[in-house]
Amino acid sequence: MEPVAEASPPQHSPIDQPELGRLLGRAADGDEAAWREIVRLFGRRVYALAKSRCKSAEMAEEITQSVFATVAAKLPSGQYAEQGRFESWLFRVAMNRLRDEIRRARRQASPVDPEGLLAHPAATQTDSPSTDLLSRLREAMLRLPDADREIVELRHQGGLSFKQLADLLNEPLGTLLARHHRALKKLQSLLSDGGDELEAAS
Amino acid sequence: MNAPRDPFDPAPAAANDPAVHDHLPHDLRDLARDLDALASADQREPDAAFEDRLLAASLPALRDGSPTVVATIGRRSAQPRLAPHLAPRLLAAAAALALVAGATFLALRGPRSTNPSDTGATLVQSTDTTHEASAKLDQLAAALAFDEGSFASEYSAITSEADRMTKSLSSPFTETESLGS
Repeated sequence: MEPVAEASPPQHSPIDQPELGRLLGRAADGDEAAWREIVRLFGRRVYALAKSRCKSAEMAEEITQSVFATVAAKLPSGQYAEQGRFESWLFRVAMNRLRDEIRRARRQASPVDPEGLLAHPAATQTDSPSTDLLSRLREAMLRLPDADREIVELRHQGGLSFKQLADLLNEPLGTLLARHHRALKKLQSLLSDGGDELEAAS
Repeated sequence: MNAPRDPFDPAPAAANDPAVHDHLPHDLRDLARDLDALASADQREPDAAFEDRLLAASLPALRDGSPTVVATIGRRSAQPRLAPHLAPRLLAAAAALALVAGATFLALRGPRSTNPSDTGATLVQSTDTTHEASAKLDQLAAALAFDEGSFASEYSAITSEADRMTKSLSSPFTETESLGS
């Protein structure tokens, strides 16, 4: 499979832990400028994760707002103690919120497609020559088992390091590396042969 | 010469840097970079006002310490949303409740008979009529609850039916006359 041409890497947190810790401390004291910076650093990463899960841009934005409102409420009340694990905590809140939304969607047949079977509108919104490839990649992701999809999304859409994933999922680093590797192999299989081998094995 | 790297035992920097995929076998690195490109496209998708909306939604929670006061600030709505399919159901339930409450009130108040000898019979008939009215209202309310699509016509029917029953319940003279004849 050819790599996507001119692919820019997704945004990760270009901030070191001590500086992030100071920002969080100021935000916890009600400093709105500090909170604005936190939103700027992490908002689109949470959005990308939500979008990958629920497919609807509007729903993804609502979920992102809900996540940040929750975090904003918890920071001043001391429910988060800065130990260099803010990103893991933030994405745990996001995953919980997404799971709630998916459960609700399954009960109500709501605008969110819980099985992720809808076409992804973003795939048709650019003129990039790699649109087709990205579209195929999205479709293949939808066919991944939940556990594999979760780790791929947290690693790539969420932009978490394996250490942060270990904090978030409470699993050893080695296990997560193996899970990620296995998930990518499945994805590769889905892309190359439509996942016949994967389906036969499951 | 560097020893070949074990893909499951990456250097710490590689394991902890999401943008680095050195720990993966060569055949999966391109795929990992494509996934990064997909994530990048998703991150660029919201418009420039995305962060402003996110701030507008979360700053009240930072000030007040409660996320429940925050309404969604989005392209879809600036107000807290009620699931669209619940609105007609709630309206139907409210209308049915109001009508049943009205009919019950009128029944309890009883007819105003000017003829004391007819009062008992009037009350019996009025009670029967009220039971019929309640049953009819129940049927209509059930029809409303199960047929949201025809909500407008059902609502109109239940309103006119309720008007008719209200008039009959509040006109004891008619019933008294019919009993007396």
